Amino acid sequence: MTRPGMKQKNIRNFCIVAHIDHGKSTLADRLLERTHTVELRDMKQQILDSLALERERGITIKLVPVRMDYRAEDGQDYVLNLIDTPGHVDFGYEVSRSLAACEGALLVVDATQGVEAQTVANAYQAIEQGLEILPVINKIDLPSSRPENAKKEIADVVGLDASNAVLASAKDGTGIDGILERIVADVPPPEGDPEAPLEALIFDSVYDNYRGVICYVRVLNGTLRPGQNILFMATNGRYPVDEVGVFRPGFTPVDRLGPGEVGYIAASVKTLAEARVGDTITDAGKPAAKPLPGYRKVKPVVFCGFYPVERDDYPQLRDALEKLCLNDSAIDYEPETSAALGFGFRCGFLGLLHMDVSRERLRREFDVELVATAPNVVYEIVTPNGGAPGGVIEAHRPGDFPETGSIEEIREPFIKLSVFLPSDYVGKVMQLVQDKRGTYRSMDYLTPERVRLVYDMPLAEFITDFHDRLKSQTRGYASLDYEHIGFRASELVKVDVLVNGEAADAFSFICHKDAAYRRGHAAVTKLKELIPSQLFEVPIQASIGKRVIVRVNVKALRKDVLAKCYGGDITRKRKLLEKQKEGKKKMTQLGRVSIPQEAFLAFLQFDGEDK
Amino acid sequence: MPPSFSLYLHVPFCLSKCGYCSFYSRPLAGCAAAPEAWLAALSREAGRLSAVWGGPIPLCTAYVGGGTPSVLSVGLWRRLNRILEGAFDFSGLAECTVEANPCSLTDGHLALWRGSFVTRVSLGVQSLRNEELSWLGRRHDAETALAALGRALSYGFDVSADLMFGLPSSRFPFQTLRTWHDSLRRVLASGVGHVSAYQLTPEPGTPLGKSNPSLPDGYSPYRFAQWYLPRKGLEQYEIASFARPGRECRHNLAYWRQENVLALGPAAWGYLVGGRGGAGFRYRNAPTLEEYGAAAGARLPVAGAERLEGRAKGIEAAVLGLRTKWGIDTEAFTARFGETLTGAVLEVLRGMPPRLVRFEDGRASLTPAGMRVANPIWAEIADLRAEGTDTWKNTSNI
Repeated sequence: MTRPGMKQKNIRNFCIVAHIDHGKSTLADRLLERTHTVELRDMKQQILDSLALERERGITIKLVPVRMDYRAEDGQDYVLNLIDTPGHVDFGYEVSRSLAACEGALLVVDATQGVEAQTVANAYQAIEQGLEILPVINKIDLPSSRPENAKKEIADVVGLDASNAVLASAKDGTGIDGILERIVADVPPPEGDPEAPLEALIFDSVYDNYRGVICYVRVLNGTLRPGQNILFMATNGRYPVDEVGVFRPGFTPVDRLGPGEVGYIAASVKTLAEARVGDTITDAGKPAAKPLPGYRKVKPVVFCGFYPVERDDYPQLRDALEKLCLNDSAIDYEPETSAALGFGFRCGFLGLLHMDVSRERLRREFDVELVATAPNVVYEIVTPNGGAPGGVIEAHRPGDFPETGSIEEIREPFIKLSVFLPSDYVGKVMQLVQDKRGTYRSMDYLTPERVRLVYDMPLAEFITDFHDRLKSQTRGYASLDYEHIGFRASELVKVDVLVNGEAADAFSFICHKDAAYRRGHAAVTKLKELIPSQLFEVPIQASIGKRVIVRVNVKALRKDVLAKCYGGDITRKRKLLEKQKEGKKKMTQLGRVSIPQEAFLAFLQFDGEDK
Repeated sequence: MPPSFSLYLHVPFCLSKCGYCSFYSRPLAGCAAAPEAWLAALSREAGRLSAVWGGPIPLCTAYVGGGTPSVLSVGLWRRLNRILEGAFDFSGLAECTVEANPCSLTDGHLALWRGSFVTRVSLGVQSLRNEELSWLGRRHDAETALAALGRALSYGFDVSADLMFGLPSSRFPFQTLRTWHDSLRRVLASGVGHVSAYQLTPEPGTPLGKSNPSLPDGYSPYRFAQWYLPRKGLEQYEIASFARPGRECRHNLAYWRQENVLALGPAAWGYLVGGRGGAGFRYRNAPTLEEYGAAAGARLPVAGAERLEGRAKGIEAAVLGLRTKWGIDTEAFTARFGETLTGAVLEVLRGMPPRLVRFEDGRASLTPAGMRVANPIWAEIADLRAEGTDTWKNTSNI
């Protein structure tokens, strides 16, 4: 049920920002419990993380807002809308739109860990959106907690006053009342004019099998009502509103959403592409003068191929991808074919986690077993003037690269990488980052024991096992954050792999010219392991253009079974040969060389570094 | 030319079963009833065959295998011969081989065979190294084997020796090129004109197969045999067969040329040419003595069959042809299976490295190097199979 006439001044919209594992979800649970939004018996699982997968990874990916009713110490009733934010840098844009729907943010810092890389990035984003920030020091129940230290770090590292931070333990409930009171007292009530032209920000949208797209909105001005004709300003789609409602935390219909209110609308929108995150909904009859600022279409930065394990399962994969994209408009996909893997899709993702999660969802929710090729980034290739019109080619795979002669410059995406780490590991991490073509920007001592390193680094290097290596070299003590900083020219080369003198497209790759030999060597060595002995000696070479840089040989076949064959043996023998043939179905003929499908798979999942 | 047949007769008895053997046999010891039952059923089957044919069936080759045909007593052999002579016509017989084990082969056998239709004795020597023989579970030693070879030769038979390679080389019995050469050399010195050299293969269902031993790939002893035996005058005429000129086993050639072979006895296999549409028909008899005895009578004791025609038959013909030094006669093959398949087979062979395949005198055949890697080449040809039927039916009327 809703409370008609809830005063705008009694609404508080806020979110929680935190580094991963600093206790955001537990704190959210505690707030719901304390406001009786969800009774204790429903708290068995962390409601906000509704996808099983997210629970497993402890990361919130899809946003689920929730509305809480709270009677404050001043005796007044307030509506508190908690808008959850994704906890991973892959979803930075969604985070920014969620923040834009709020007036305040709880900045949660683990009292045992202090400020971590994402704490800073998230806090700065909230500040950028003009949010009131309430520091919360969490996990003070732990013996190893050092709340004063955490406060000091918030002040020193983030630059926010944390002297009056709430000390809390989401685990045992300490400080929860304090947090609620501070939200009421410090987070400003929303502004906005109910009579002005409608402006509602879409901060997320989900696909529902029965009702189509459901948009999660924050109304800034005007009023949203069922039956109203609305306009999506970026996509220009017009729809009548079927239903408006709020989250309690389930979908609960209401008769209207006024300024400052957070809720959902259902309007029989068929695809997520028509209701993009960040778009502005207005009244089709009385539109707003201009859309709300900040909208952009998210662009995938990491690409990989998805192929069905069994070639016959291609239609299932296609259907599953279509359905997945109904739920996640950030995935781009287009059909592609591979000599080794048959028909599949080249898919674009916001980052590695997004890719992994999507793959897992395809497996779990759609029961599709698939093969993912090693991820790569998108490259921009500048061709000489007078060449192709436009002059810049976007290359999603090595095969998109033109001849060496018609390349003037190759650009690759870069990130600005921040690593927070104990000072003992600075040397190791600097070495790692430099191996990964990072360029130094800055180093700060946050405390005598803790350091922040900032580097620019090619995204391509980041996506090949950087995170794992960082964690292993710092025994898990380092945390990182990054932001995309655009494309930069790099000395990149396309390395071709030749099997028996013939170029094998599936094996070619892009890398920095200084790494070409090492990567080429790793690639041909790996292939030598993967390609079975042939009837004759097979050279495997890596080349840049026409220049061969590495060569190994697969030795000639020697193994055979030579048995007698009379009478009934003939049938048995023939069946054996036919079985060999069955196995061979999965072989791809490259000239006279048979390469088993497993070899392609192993190679395509091989990220170029032998571990 | 009137049709004639090859005959394969299976003797399902042994003194004891060798660990690597996958052929059907049972120990003979102390059981007189089993050979009696076998002979009786054999007599019924042979009678039935000749009744179907309408008289004694003309044979061009025969092969008595097992099991161990030499474990049958001379008396049983006499009765066996009488049964065969009643049902088959040996007047056009070019060759009849009997398999023998050095332990059980006696002068009595040899004398009896000499006076009958038997022309050839194939002796299961396996090795002339006692440690290898004992590892294989053979009951004889090298001396016994050499004596048996000498005896068979002295009766004027064509004699073939089976030898086995691919035994463990890094542990007992340590078969090395040296021991392998020793076996080959001494077998040749005995005067045999034919050697079957084959690789020890763990077959599923055998004790050896179940123990799944790690065995060497057999490449080097095989290659050595290919080098050594021709130097001593025994040419390689098939993957596992080496012979002095004119001493090739003609019965085995019938298998590799898809010619008519009649099966006689339990677990024996036959092949008949010329069903509808030129189909081939490969069949097997009831697999155990009991089932065979029960089935042989008013009808033939056939337990299973496959019909082989069209492309599938052609592919098998190509693979079998490539086992032999004669390979595939392009013209004859085209006449049998058409230009499309011939072209496809030749294309596969032309795609092979040149030193593996020889194209000479209208034939395509494997070189010795090609024979060493024959399996993957055959697999390529087997891969051409797209149509043609390959069905097993349980049937007992042909």
